[in-house]
Amino acid sequence: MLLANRETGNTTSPEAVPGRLQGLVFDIQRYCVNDGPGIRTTVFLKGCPLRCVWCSNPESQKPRPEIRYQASLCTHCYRCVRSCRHGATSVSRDGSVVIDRRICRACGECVKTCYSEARCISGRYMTVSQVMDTARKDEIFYRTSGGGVTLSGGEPAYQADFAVAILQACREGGIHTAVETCGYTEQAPFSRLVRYADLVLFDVKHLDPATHRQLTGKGNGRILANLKWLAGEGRPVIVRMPLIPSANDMEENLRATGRFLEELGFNRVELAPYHEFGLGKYGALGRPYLAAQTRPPSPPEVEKARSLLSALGLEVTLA
Amino acid sequence: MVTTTEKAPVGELSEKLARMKAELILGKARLDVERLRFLEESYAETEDQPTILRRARLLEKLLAHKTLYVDEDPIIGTVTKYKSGVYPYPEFSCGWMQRETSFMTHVAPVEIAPDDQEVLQRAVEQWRNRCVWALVNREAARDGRYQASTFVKSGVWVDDIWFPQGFCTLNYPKVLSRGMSSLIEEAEQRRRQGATTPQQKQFYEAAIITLKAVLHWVDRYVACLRETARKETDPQRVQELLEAAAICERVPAFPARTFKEAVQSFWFTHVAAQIEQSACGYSPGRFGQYLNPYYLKDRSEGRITPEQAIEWFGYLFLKILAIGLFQPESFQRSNLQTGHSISLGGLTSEGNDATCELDYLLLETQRRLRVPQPSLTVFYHDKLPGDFLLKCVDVIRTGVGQPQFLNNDVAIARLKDLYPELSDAEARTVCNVSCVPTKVSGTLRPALEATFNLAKPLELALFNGKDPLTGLQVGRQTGEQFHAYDDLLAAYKEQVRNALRWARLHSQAGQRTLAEIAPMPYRSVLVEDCMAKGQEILAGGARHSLSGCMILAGVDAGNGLAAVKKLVFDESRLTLDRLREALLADFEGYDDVFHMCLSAPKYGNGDEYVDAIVREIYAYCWDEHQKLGPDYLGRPAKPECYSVSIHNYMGEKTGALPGGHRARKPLTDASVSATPGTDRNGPTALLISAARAVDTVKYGSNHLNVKFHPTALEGESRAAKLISLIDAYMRMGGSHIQFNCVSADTLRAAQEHPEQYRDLVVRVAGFSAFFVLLDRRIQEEIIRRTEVSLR
Repeated sequence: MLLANRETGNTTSPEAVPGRLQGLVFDIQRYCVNDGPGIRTTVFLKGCPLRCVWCSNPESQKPRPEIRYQASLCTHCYRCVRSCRHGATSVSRDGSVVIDRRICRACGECVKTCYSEARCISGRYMTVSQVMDTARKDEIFYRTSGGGVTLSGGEPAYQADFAVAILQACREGGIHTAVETCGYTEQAPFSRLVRYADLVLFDVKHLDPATHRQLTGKGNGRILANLKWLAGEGRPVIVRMPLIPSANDMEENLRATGRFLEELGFNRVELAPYHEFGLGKYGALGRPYLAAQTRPPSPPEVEKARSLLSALGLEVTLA
Repeated sequence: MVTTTEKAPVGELSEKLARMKAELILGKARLDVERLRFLEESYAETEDQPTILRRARLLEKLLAHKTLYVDEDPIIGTVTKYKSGVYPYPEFSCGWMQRETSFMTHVAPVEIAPDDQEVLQRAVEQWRNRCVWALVNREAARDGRYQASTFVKSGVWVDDIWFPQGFCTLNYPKVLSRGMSSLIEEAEQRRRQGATTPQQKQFYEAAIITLKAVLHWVDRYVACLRETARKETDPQRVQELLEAAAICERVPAFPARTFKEAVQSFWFTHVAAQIEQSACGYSPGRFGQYLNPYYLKDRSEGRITPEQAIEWFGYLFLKILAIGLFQPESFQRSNLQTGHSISLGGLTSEGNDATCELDYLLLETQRRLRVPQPSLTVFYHDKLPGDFLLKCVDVIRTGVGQPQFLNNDVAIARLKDLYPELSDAEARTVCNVSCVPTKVSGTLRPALEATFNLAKPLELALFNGKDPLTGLQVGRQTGEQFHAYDDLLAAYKEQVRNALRWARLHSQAGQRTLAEIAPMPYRSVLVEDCMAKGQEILAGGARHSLSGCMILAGVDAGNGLAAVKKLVFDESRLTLDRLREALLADFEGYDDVFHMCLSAPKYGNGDEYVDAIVREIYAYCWDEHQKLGPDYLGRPAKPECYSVSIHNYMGEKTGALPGGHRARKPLTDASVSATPGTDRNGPTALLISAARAVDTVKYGSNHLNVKFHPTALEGESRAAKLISLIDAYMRMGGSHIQFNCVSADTLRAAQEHPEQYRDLVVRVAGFSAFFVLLDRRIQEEIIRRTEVSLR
């Protein structure tokens, strides 16, 4: 997930081929064991309406390609500086390499010259068939494990046409599909997406609208409405909740979430304790990490949340 | 999370085993020169006798007079007079015993006492010109068409003549069920009635001498144990000693009746073979399965609990670990094992799942003990029980790299391809021998001819047959100008063909000489049909026979050829001359070339561009090996495809390669693993490449290592996913897979040298990441978790 997968690397050119549906993908990861049942290939679509402060995939947020620069791998050969036709990459006074993100167009010329692979591009425009070429490679593993393809993001509904086309192609090929969604989307694209997915993994982050806006940049009205609608559809759904210390793990919120899920008829929730794996990526994207003070929950904290939710009658699993 | 099943209690290593393990691992191995003294004496006494009888008398003398070693270990019998000792075998080769200064076993450095050093050097002087190695090289020099030393020095191939070879599974069940006394009777009867030729008479005589010698040696142990008990004051210890003495009075002379008698009978049978000739690859075979009836009987009659059986296996595992081979450190570091493989799972001769209670207990023993030898191998098929597979994952999680999985269907197809007359029932008894090969049990004469490095011929092809590292003209002059990729490929193939031809010719001369110098009467008794035919194993007595070279580094050669194809011929980004300059400079000052080479397609990513080349190389090598015909007995020859750790040894002799291999660095491990750092698309892509790289039925073996971070295997659902991964690989025709859990040391090394560990993926908390890209603080956290998981 961190390093752009070589297999997805077809073109970095943002110009769409006329008449061919393309989507912006920042990674296709094979052998995923946590995004639904069995062994899965997860297609990460770029672009997300939310800006969760704890996001571990910050490269998933912006709906355009971005250069990632991992300073720890840089050998300071400055080939990237010489290769940049837009003047976006330069050398600062202390010898370090800096990128002016306002100018950078993520054309990828610098990536080609970076021998130490300190640079890569997050985000490539791909056609449905290009995605399917990779997705089909692991069919035998799907069969032996009961796995399939998961669309994740970003937010798949953000590129609904593209996402639906992939789901359709999977269905035609007999491949099980799952969609990971934050639920923040209009109902029309959402219902289209859900109709073609065999399983929906739905994230619930906070029950209080104001706090939700604080933590993610958006209110939760649309999200909860979509979940309510989804509950009535009777389709396979796994509700997931990230567990972020001091953000959403307060007793009050856990109770509210549990009760809400109960009312909708869900009897199970999957807890995903916060982790810091995304930390290194913020620097590589030239962005500040807003949750720098947040630490992963301790095992007792996780256990407390788990037992609180189970006391409400929910089956709680840990991601 | 550890899986408990009714059949295998989960528990901790006992204090006694923990202490014994530490002593063994932290201690030293010692050279025991007693054998040399008896060798000299015995050979002086038997000068005018046929070789087979001389070898029998030698073993007889050794077993009658060697110093016995007994300690707190309840399983009796060691190879040498030390707990952990090694014997030298100068009859095979000995120059290195003088040349080299540092020796080791797979467990520890070998210590040689000053007085013993003198004895060793005297033996070297005596054998220098008449050992197998010397005789073969003299013959090669007379032949004059090739120089073996040139190939060996340049690391194209190394003949496997200079050390004794095991590579088979003896017919242990025969001793367990019949006892050696009955084998002596059989030999005597056959000598009287069946033997017509002098060779047959000599064989039966030698068989009787050696079997009686083994029983006499065991009698000496009984006396020793009783004597020790007499002097002992601790009543519990007296009890233990007398119990051991009673067991040794019964076995291996007579049929074993209990589990402990069966284990002891196996052990004496095995150690005697190691004394006759200490060698790599005497594998116990389906050990749990042939012991299982004794265990079940004891259980039903209340003589043993599963916990006690695990403890007993623990003692046995440490005894196996203590068996070492006397080798120079430089070579041993490339080997580090003794091929004591125990096979689990598989099918019964009727075709049902053969997994038994003791298979579970063997896994549990290894989960607690975590020793590199013996190594556990599971013969994978659709009918294996689910709890057994989960138990396997529990052992993998410990980081011990075991069990490895072999494809049962492929193993059977392989045997039937080799021996068309083999019945289904016999083929199903297949077991793992040595590292990864699959062989018939108890009926095989195996011989490893030479170890062949497929990467080196690419260097030779690029430099007109000359080895840039040594400056020697090793290969044929195949030219320097290549107008198309196919020209280079043709030159490469010619280098392979030429070198392989001499490798086999040389090694076969070695095998023939070995049969003349060092026949093995005792081993022959335990390999069918030597006894029935009255023929020694090396003379052709075994029912089945298989010789062949061990082939490795096809992946390095493939990556190299793919890089040249892509960069020089397809895309014209690089000239051959500039590539050669860069290779000669080991890429120093050629960063751009190095980068281009690294970014060329690499095997292990499911990329047919390069996978097809790897497949072509292995297929070509197989064909050429076949064209060179059967072995010196006229029996089938077939190459093996694995590396043990010899890719390190060969790597030191291999220069920079166009795939990005740096000069003198290790080559790629196994036969179908990816070069470290180059498989970027995860385990499924690697498995897709690996399953199509080698024709697993034609080759005698195949070898794939996959690295995992231990946290990727936490919990039952991830264990199940790992099993699905194995299942898919087997369905694709893969024949071998083993998982190495990444250690904290590896992760630290990755922090220091991120460029060498770009492919290292950690999967924690539902998140996968390339380790080297993680924030330093997170890296530290993962290292801590790794240490916890592997403890």
